Amino acid sequence: MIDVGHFFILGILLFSIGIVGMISRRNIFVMYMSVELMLNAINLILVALSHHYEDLNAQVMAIMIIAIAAAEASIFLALFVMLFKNARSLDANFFTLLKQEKHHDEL
Amino acid sequence: MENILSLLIFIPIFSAILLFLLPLNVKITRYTSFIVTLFTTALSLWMYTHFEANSHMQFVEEYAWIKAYGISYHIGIDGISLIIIMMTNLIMPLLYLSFWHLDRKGYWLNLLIVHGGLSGAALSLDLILFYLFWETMLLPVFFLIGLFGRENKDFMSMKFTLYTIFGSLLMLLAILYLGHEHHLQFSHWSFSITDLHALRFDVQTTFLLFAAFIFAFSIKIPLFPFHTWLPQTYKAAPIGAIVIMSALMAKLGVYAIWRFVFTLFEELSFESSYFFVLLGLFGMIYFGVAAIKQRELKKLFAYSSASHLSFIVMGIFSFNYYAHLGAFYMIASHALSSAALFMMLGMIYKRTQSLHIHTLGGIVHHAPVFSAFFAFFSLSIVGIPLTGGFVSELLLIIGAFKYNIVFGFISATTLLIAILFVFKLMQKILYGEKRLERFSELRLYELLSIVPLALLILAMGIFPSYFLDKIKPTAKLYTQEETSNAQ
Amino acid sequence: MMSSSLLGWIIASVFFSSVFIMLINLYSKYNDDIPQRVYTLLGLGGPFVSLFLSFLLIYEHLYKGINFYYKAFIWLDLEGFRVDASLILDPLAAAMLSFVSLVGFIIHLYAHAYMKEDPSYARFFAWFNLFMASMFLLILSDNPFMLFTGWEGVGLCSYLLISFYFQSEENIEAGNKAFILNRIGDFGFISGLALLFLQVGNAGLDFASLEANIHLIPHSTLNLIAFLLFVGAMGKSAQIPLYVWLPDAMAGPTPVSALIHAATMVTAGVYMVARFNFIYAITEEVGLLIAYIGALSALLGALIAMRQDDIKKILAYSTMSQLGYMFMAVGLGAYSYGIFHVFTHAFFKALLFMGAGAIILALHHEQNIKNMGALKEKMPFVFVMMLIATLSISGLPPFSGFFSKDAILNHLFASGNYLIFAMALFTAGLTSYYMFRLLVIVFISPSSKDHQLLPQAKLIQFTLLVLSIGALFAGFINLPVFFGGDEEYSLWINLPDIRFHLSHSNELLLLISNVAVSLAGIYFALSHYMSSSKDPSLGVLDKPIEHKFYIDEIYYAIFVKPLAWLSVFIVRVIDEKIIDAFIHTVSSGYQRFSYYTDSVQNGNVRYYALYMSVAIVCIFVYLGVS
Repeated sequence: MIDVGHFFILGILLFSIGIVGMISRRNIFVMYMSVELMLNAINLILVALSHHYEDLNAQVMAIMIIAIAAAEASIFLALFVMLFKNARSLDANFFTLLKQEKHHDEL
Repeated sequence: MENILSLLIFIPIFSAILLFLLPLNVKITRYTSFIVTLFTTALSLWMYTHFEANSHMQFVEEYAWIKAYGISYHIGIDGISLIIIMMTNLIMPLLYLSFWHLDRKGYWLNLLIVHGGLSGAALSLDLILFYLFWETMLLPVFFLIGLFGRENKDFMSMKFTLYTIFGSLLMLLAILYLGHEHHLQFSHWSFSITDLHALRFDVQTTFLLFAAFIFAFSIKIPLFPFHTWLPQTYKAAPIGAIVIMSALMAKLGVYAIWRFVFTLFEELSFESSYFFVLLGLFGMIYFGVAAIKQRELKKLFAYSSASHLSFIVMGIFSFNYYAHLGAFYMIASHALSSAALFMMLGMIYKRTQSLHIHTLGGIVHHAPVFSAFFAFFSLSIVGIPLTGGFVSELLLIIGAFKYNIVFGFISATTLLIAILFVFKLMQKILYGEKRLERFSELRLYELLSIVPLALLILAMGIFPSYFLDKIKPTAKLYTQEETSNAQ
Repeated sequence: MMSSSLLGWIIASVFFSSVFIMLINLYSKYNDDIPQRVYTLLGLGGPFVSLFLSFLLIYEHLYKGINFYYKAFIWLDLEGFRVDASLILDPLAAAMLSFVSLVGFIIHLYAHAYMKEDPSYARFFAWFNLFMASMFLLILSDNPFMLFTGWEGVGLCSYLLISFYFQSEENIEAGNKAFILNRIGDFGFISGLALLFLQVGNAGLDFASLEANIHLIPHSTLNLIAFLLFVGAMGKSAQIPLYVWLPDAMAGPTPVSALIHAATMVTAGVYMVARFNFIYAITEEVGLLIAYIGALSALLGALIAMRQDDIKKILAYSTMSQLGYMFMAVGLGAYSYGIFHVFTHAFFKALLFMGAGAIILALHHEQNIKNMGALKEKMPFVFVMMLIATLSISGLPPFSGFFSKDAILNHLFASGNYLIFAMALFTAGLTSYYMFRLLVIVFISPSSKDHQLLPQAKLIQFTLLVLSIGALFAGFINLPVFFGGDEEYSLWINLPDIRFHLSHSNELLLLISNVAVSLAGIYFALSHYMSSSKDPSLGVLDKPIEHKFYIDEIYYAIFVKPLAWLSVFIVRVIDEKIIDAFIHTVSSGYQRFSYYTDSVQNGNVRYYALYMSVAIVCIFVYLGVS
């Protein structure tokens, strides 16, 4: 039988793929896709748990996450468009404006 | 007029804030600040005449401020704070007069805030309140040096501020610990020194707390070896800031030792007196010798200030009546002399844009009146009779002899130390070959700013008993107790 | 009954005239010039009033036999430490006051003539009068602290007047040297006063109370106090080892040398020892030390004077030498003889200096005696005056110097200190030798240069004449018993002298030997210098004497250079390289630390995501485990 445990494992796998993708991929779209993947993995686990414990609260949480993810998506994608317009690049390594400047003079 | 002390503290601060917020031009700012300081001077004179010569705190005001943590607004004045307040209020208006030509608004505002902070720090009887004013004093000086200073000002303003704040930080930790201990031992918070006086600790804790306070104050005074910020900061700072630092803020370090360290840690202060007397004598000689070969006038007088202040510290740790009186009197007379000298340095800088001995010379040919006053103030630092400096040195030497004969001899060398650099200095810049093309004579407002100081120095030298009467009872405070405790 | 507040006016009149001169001069810098007459009126009026009041009070004092005591105000009143600004006129003070006010005024007149053309006339008289005020305060003080105020005051005025011609760097250095060496003496003096005060001060600090309580002080402490007080005298009265300022002090105008460095300030040390006679009478070891230092100073001064060529420097070393005699006297208990020699010395030494000044003026500021000569015909009056003074200092009867010197020499012999006596006797011979050397070279021996003399002011001649009367006749006020007198002066001063009794024949022998030694010195001088002004060789001693025994160079090497080195060392090495470097390593260490750790913040979002993930995992592991 397919029970909660299987869903957990699937969810964890998906989540791990999301994290690794977030860290290791350089294309910002792919990074965003990984973030969405992580969120969906969490949704999956929540729904499975809700079914297992017969508690509807988790499903409510899952629906809220979907809504928030959608809002997030619009903002993210708008930002990506602006970034591309300014920098003409979609490489995450390119955007290092918050870097600490190394200076050797006095305070 | 019971709130006179609060008036003395807050009138300058509020005026500064007001002047800052309102878009007034420099001229109005200047006049207003001058009138404000004249007003505080008048108030302080009133208070002086109503000050009674006893050893209790007077004009005390005590209001609960942050009740939950026992922080109160507790201020009061006694003999030693009287000296600091009077010196502050007498020197500030004269300082303003001598810089009448300045046209930077921020200068005056910062000076006003320092004025208020100094008064507050000298009058606080609550540790947190004292810390507040201690930092209030510091911040405007940071701005003064950083905005209006000379060479290397950015670095030196940071160095000076960070160094001082580091010391104050340790003191803050000690203060908080004291408050906490009070809460533990007496089940309510309090930061008033009258309450904290009752606390008792074990030896190690006492030593750590004592060290924290002393560290903060030693940086301010400065005591060897926490003095290295001094010559460079003086070199970088504008003259107004230097006058305040040398004449007033440094003395505040000594005052703070008396007010807080002696009250809270009586036995340890007395036991460690040998070390501090030695340190004071060492500093006096060390800084005096260092001044001999200085070629930059501000640095020379920086070392001279440090030398006299170390001597004062020796005085207060000698724990006898004469040494304490001498220390108090020297706080006053040195404040006057060094304020006057630095103001005259400011006049030199205004005319020649340089304070290096090599570029000056033969001033007496151009400006004999200026030279006469400069020579007079230099001699008052040396301590010739008829000046306040002589009386204070005499009392300090006697006090040192009373403590220990060998220390007495070492302290008597103060007679020699100052003349070694002062006379060479006078020779090089007043006499010497004419190296300047022009050096205009003292103008009326400059004359007005230094004549009161000269008269006061003479009065303190010729009629010392009048001035000493008010502070005698306070000076006796730690001598009776110490002798009765030690026996 | 005269009011004792007049005592205060003696000081106040010169003090106020000095202050008025200063104020008027200050005013004149901003406005038009003030005519010199104003300054003359003030500058001479002040000392004249002081002179008048002095003699008035001294007359009253002598006539009625009372002491005057005046308390101006309480200076310091702390528990157990009470110093009044008070003055006293007792016989000792009166003795000093008599000649200080008289000689002081005479020299003021002389100075008017001398400085008339000088543009800084006003400043000169301001300091000159201030000096008189300080000297009066010193003499008339009722307690050691007021005395010290006057003591420092005369030191300050000495500095101001030595460096009067400040255009020349050397003069200022001479002034610095004088003030610094004075202060070294003051260091000892103040230490002695502090110790004295701590021992018996709370019973009263005026001399009378101190005298009453002096027996309470343990002997060793009293020795220390006596020695320290004498250190002050060493500086002020130019004795070994603090004498090196006196020859350099000749850089000041000649009236200054005459008044300050001959007649008054330098004798303050002798006066001080006489004032503290109640201490020195007990501490005989210190007294002996004082006498030895006096003897050595007398000898050294005379030796160096033998080969000096500057007329004022000869007189300076001569002063040092004569001061040695005074200290020999007071060191061995002959206080009144010491004061008596102060008295006679004031007259003849001032006369010598003033005569030298007249010569210097007449010869366009020439001071080297080798460039003078044969002035006897051109300046006969000055020659006679200088001759009188020279005979007096050489100790020939019946001049005043004979009586005072003879009294001292006899006392030295009778006290049993034969070494000191021998040194003093030998020095007496040297004294007459070098003084006649000066006289002969300047006035008699042929001149190498031809001089056009400037005319001499009548005022100068008048003042010289007045002083010469003193140099001639002052000795008679203290005529010893041997000559049929009663030593009225010594009796009057009433100090606890140690009196030795010499047999009549011994006294006669001593008298003859003293005069003989002096005559021998005169003979040697005359025989060498009558014909030529070249100095005869002294063999191996030539170089050391010429170079003043290299003392100045030695002092420079031991004290001045190391101090300068130490100053630079402190600032450059200790302050900058050690202490400040430590602070800088703290701050730069902090910066270094941030340098190495700031690579964490590389601005790359992916790294931040990694850090966050790792951190969250760790937190969960921790929560799960605990």
